[in-house]
Amino acid sequence: MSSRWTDTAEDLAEATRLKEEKAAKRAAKERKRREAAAAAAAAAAATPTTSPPASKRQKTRNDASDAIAPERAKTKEPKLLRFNGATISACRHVETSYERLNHIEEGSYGIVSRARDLETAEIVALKRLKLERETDGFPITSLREVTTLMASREHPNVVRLREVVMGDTLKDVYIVMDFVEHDLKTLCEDMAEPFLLSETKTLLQQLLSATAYLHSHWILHRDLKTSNLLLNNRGQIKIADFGLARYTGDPAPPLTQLVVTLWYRAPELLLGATTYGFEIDLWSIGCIFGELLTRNPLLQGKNEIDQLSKIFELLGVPTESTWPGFRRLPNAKSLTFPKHSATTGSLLRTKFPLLTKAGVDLLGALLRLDPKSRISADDALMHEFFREEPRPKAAEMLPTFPSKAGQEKRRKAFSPGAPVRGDAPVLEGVVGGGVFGGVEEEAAGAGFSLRMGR
Amino acid sequence: MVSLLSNPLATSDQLASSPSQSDGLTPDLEVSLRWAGSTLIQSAGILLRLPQPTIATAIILFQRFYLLASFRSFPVLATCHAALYLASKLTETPAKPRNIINVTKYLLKTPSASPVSPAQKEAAEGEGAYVDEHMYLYHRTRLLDMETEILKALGYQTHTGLPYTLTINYAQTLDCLSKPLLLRCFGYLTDALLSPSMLYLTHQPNALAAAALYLAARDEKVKLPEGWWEMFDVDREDLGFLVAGMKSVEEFVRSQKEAWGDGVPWDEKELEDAVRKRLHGAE
Repeated sequence: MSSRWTDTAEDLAEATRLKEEKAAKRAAKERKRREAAAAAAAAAAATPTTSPPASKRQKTRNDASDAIAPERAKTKEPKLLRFNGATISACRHVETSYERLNHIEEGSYGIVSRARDLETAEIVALKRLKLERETDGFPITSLREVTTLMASREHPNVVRLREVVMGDTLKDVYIVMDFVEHDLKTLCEDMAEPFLLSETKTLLQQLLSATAYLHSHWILHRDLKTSNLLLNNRGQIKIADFGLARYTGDPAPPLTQLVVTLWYRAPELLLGATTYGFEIDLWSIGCIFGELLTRNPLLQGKNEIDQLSKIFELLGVPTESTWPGFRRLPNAKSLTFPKHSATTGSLLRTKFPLLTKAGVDLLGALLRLDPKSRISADDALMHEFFREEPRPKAAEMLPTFPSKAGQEKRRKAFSPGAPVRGDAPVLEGVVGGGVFGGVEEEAAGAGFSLRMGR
Repeated sequence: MVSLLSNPLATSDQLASSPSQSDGLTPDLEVSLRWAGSTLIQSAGILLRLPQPTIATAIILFQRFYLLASFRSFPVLATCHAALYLASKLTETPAKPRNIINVTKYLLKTPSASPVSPAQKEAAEGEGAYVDEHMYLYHRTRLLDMETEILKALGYQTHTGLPYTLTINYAQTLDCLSKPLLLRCFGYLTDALLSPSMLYLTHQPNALAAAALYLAARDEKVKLPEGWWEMFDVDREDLGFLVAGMKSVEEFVRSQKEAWGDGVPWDEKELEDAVRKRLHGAE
């Protein structure tokens, strides 16, 4: 086997010149190798417990340092990068480490409560996993949640996983996270005024930066929505709830389509794609962007069919040219789409009349029907929208609010939950027809809405 | 991606104090049990057609666990089962508990290519290698409990960066990528999983990858530039230690196989007998 480093004819002269030098070097190398082998053999013969390899090597270094000192002095000491991983240590016990303060929220995944770290007196969120009904051991979804959160805990816009603690039995598992005062959904509902455009930009920028980080680490979140975005009183967004997150790869492995809360679910998922990628998270971000602007969820479908209708109403029915190959998706075959061109245009411009051209452009790029032409998180961060006036506000300058999770039980508004395990629904029916009857009316009336009461 | 290059490693205190030995095990017995468990996981993983990253992850989890727990409190067989099951979940290549339990039983009762299998057929045909429903449920319950025990002992920190793919990058960087070279690299890396010095708990993946590449290049007579390992942040000392460690695995396995012709003490009763025998031998 030849390599770039094999000697060629030109090198021969040089090689002979260096031969003696090399021979001497080789002898030295051989001696050193024997030394190392002897040290390792000694380490191997004795058990690692009585003579740990670390200390063995330390000794070799000390012994040999005199011999190789002059050699070292000539050649510069190499600067080697060292990445220190975590240490291997056991879980702490929940009762001896934390004091529970108040209940925050309960979902299908578990119960979240506010607690105080007994050592540092810091306030944390304690999430107890529901494992009682598990028959296959520790659930793979929880395992993914913990591993993905651990992998991304360095990012300032991902909720920081502090540790996992356990109770008395093997079924008592608690995830300990930083406590964050608000979630974006409750906040949007309770705010008198929506966020300013500059504030919306800051929030969106943080969300995109965290998503770009996750995607660069091959993590799909798969449940981005306003209720999973937490906001602290220093204006920082934290992505939370990695219950549906998982690692993916290239090529993407077959994945379940039963992900992402309906209102934030990308059209390729609704049409039954089993291979999908990071694009689904960006669709969700597009929906969140729209929601931040209006304080109302952008696409509130009642079921999968209705969700698709709402999407196509807003963005137009896909054609072979705007979304090549969409008809081959499993659920597209059983759906009939209206064919006339009036329905293929996008209504984003009329729906958001106060947004700048760049803003509509970014929203349109996030809500692109064809996943292949949807913008990536990295590209979205570079979008002109973030550079034009008004500039994103500094996070510290964002308004603060009284925290509901701090003491009171939250008022729950209806919002559909993430899909649960089971069979994927088969979509049948007609998209369009009656639904598309309202398109003109919608176009004419966009921008004006008269609401009574509330 | 720093996570590829950094693993949680054993501290020198952890390496110096063995929970198993504080619990009355002799050092040689601990080394053998660790070897046997790792080998059983490797062999079972192959029969279960799990990819090598899954198998390697299982072995590393197994070794990390016994760094902090005693072989006497947690029997080795159930830990092997659980490590395989947990690793299969972590690497998204799920294996069923039933298959894992059946395969290990087969390996421990029937002659096979695996060093942990008996040389002679022990029991009557079919009988010894069969797990009945009662025993299956017993093993399954212990497997599921051990899975959480492993997670608990490791603080749910299951990240395991593996050196296999790094060798491809390194060989590419040095412009010497070839199939025979890579196969040798992978061979050395798989050997290193069985090393009694627990190389995967003491060294980061980049060092392991460089050592495997060093040995493979020497075997394949591929010439590499002087001091190339420094490019991958490995110093000569670590490299020498790992090279010697990887080379000595073959001899170590041979001696273990000779010493344990009729199998290591897999269950608690056998282990207690072995511990007692060693105690009396010492007296």
